[in-house]
Amino acid sequence: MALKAIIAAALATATAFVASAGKGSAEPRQADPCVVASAPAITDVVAALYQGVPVARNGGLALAGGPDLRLPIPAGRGTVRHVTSDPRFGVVYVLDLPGGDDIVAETPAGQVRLHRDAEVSHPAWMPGGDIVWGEGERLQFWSHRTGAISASMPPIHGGLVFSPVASSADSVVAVVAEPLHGVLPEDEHLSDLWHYDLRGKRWHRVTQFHATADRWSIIRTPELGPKGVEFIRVHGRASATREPTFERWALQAGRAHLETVLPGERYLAGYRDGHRLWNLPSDHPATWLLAQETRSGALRELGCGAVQVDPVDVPDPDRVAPATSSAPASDYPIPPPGDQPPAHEVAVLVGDYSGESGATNAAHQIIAEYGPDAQVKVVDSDAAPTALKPGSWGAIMWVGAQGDPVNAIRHFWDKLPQYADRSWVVAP
Amino acid sequence: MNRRHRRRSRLAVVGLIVWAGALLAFIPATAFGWVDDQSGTAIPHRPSGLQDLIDTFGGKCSNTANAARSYWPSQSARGSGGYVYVDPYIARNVEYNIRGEIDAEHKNNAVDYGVYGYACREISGSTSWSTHAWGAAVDTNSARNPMGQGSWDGRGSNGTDFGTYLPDIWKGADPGHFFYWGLNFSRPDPMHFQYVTNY
Repeated sequence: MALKAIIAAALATATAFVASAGKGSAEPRQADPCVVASAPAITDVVAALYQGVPVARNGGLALAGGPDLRLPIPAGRGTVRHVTSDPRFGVVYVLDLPGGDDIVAETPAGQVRLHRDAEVSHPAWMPGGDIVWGEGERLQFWSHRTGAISASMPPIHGGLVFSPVASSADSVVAVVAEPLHGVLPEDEHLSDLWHYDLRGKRWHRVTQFHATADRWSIIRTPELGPKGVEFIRVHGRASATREPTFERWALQAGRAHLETVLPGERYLAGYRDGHRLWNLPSDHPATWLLAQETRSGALRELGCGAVQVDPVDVPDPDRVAPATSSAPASDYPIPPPGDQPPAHEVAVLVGDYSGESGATNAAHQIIAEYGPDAQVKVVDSDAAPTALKPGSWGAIMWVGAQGDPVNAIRHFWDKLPQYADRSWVVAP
Repeated sequence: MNRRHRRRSRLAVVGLIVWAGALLAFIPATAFGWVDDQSGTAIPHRPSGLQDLIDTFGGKCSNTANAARSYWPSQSARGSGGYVYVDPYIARNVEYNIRGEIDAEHKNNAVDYGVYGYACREISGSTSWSTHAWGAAVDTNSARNPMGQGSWDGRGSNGTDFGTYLPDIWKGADPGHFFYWGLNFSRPDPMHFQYVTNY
């Protein structure tokens, strides 16, 4: 069969590529790895996949760290995400569709396409060639021998299971996000790494991170590396206006250890020649960079594209309202500026004070800094019920109907840094 | 005063109360001094996609992403008000237009807990950041409208069903204020209103 011959050649190419890469051969570097418009489409999909790192890029499947090629995705709508490759079995990824998604695998035996009536995530190869992925509160397993799909028990009721990694033939670790008050919110508060024993069909928790209403801790992109499972822990405060902390952790003897605090946002993207691959946000915002860690720890850029991270260069199909949606219409074009009434004024407010004297003192400070022409007023919650909680007082400085509120608050903080923690833009 | 007179008087008082209540319900908020601000300054460009979101609001979790606030009834718990923080870019729209209209129309009981704005967090199971990390989204009546629920529960903090009163103010064109409703996502999120599309 011609396809099998092509696949066999592809696997041979892949093996040779992996072997040569291990000897320190250098891949050709693209002048601008993020430009894909001119990248040729190819017909020999499976062979090409093994010449570089398969990534999701511009909604399709592409290569990074190899020839700049763009691969056609299966016919129909949808965007590619969560790409995993293994030279022994092929490439598997999610074809993200509005609503239910497809798991698609390009294998030596041909293409496997599994439609699911649910959001799915992070398909991964099991050591024998089966596929595991996350689907709601369970893992799902596809048998390459029978084609049957079976589900695990949920580790916790109402949670979200994702990013499974097969650490052995009968052992999978996955991330489990905790529900909040029995419901899974849009934003993640707490997740831990769990272990699933396929023989005993039992879950047990591997990590025990903690979170509060404000402090959150989540796990992302676990990968099976040369020394075992590694993962990224991200933690921060929801109320904070600074980047959270990114850390690389490793599992050793079933226990998680902090390996290093990372310099910024980045996620594991697999390994190549024994070295970590990373996805990092690009200077050009809506792009993921793919880089390889060298022995010195430095990063060598391979190109652009998302491996286990969610693509940022195309909209999530689930976030785009379908044209035929029966949901209430809520999207209208913004009216062009023209004969419009003057805008309502905004102000900078300093608060909250339990009495008038505190607010008056703040008002004097503002006038001293901005001058007597500043429109400053002392108000209480009766005068500004949408800006102040009942019983409190504040000093407000109007910035005018055409004033830019973002620049106004920045300027205010520069002039009166002592009020930076208690001043806000308001529009009472 | 005989019994017939007393009965007439009672009926008159009851009728007056019913009439006043009905009148109050149909009086537009403008009658209370509030005027909807549909100017391009109050309802500025609404970005589409991540790149436009960043170009418009700046970086995620930035120091100005929560620099505007407004006071909402039943914010953290039923009957317990609190502040909701957003980016100043949408301050006029959120506080004056939306919060102001609800207050001017005496519909504060339509708001039920929890009401949340800025939060520097990632979306569950994803490496994508929530629109709340830009201060570009507000969740309202969260407890009655969890993610995954395919319809809007309009009951307010007093149990009265206000229908789609709140979504109508947030979403779409006049009388709405151009927020995009999460109920339209494939995985519906009825509590969620964001000032960006295609993200």
